Amino acid sequence: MTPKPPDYFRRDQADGVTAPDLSKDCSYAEHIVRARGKRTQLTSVSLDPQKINDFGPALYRALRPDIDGDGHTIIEHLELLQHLRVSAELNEKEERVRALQAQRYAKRRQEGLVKWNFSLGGIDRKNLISWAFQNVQKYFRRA
Amino acid sequence: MDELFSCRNCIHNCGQSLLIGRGAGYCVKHDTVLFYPERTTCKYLHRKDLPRFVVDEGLREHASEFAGFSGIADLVEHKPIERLHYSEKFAWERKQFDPINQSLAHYHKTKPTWIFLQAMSGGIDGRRALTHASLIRRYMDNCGTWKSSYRFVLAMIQELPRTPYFPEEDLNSDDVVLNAEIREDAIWDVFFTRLSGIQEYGFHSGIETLMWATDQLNGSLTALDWSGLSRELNVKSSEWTDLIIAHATDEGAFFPPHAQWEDFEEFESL
Repeated sequence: MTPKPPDYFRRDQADGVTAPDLSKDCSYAEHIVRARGKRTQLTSVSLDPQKINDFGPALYRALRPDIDGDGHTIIEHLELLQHLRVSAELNEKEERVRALQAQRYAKRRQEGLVKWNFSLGGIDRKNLISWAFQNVQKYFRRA
Repeated sequence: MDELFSCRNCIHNCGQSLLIGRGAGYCVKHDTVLFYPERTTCKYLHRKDLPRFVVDEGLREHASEFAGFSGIADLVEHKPIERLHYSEKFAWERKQFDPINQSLAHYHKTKPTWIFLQAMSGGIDGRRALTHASLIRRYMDNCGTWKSSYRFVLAMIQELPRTPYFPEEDLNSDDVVLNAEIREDAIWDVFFTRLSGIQEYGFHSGIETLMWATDQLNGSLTALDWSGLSRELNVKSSEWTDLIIAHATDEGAFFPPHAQWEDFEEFESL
């Protein structure tokens, strides 16, 4: 029997989970160290709600079956650490610098990522953030 | 993870980092006490944890987000935070005296300010080491040239292999159980603040080897193994010292015969 996958949590504002910027394609390391700003196409989640208190006052649980079922991907914490480790080993210059620091942050926060796979055809770019806000809320429930 | 954009992670709040320094901080840029450094920010944020040139897109976006505030603002609510000048009397009355904040509040009264930087160097106190590295980075950034900073960076490189020490009350956690883990991680806060300073020096001086100093450090850094890295740094710090001296000598800037260090003072303002 396959073991039940772990739950992931997110802390955020009470009015909902912050929308990802689906137009900002970046590496995992860039996202974790916020090298390209506060919003990217990824959403950070954590295995431990106690480790992410600075994310916001409201606690949400990621609804894994819905996320997986709709074709989005959860990057598991250990998989993320391994990816960052390899990135720190094999990359050079900017990406190596960011991956080194990202390893620390991801480990400390027990972080995993949600990689969204929405179909964005026909959505006006200037409305992308508000569209994303409306569309990611259903994948989280207040815990 | 907005805390990365807070005053805690800014070189202008020299005496604190995400894991180091409890309670109020002090911003040398705005000359103000920071009561909630994890909740405040400003458009001049210069991150401690990474060299500026690898996170510049994020910093530009952040600066734009807080462009409408002349001073400190609340990171989440985007409201202005009133500036509060340091008062030693107030600190004693509230039982909040902190020697690092006390020193930093007098930073701009020290003329020339490079004497203040040199006085901060040496020792193994982790919080003081963090303050020293942050001050060097803001001095270098304000001057915008390597020539006035190479002496400070040389001093910082000599300290790079040393393991900083943290008394319990200097760790930013009230959780006694977690403190062993945080103590270890706090060493990395100091290390990366220093290393980012060396990389920024590489940027200003055009020494690519220093700009990408992380590429010069091998397995121990990737594994975040401080003992191994510390041994590696004993070798590297000597090489980097020689490199900086050779470059400064070639450029005619290494203790030139008639240099007046006070000449650089005009660059260092707020």
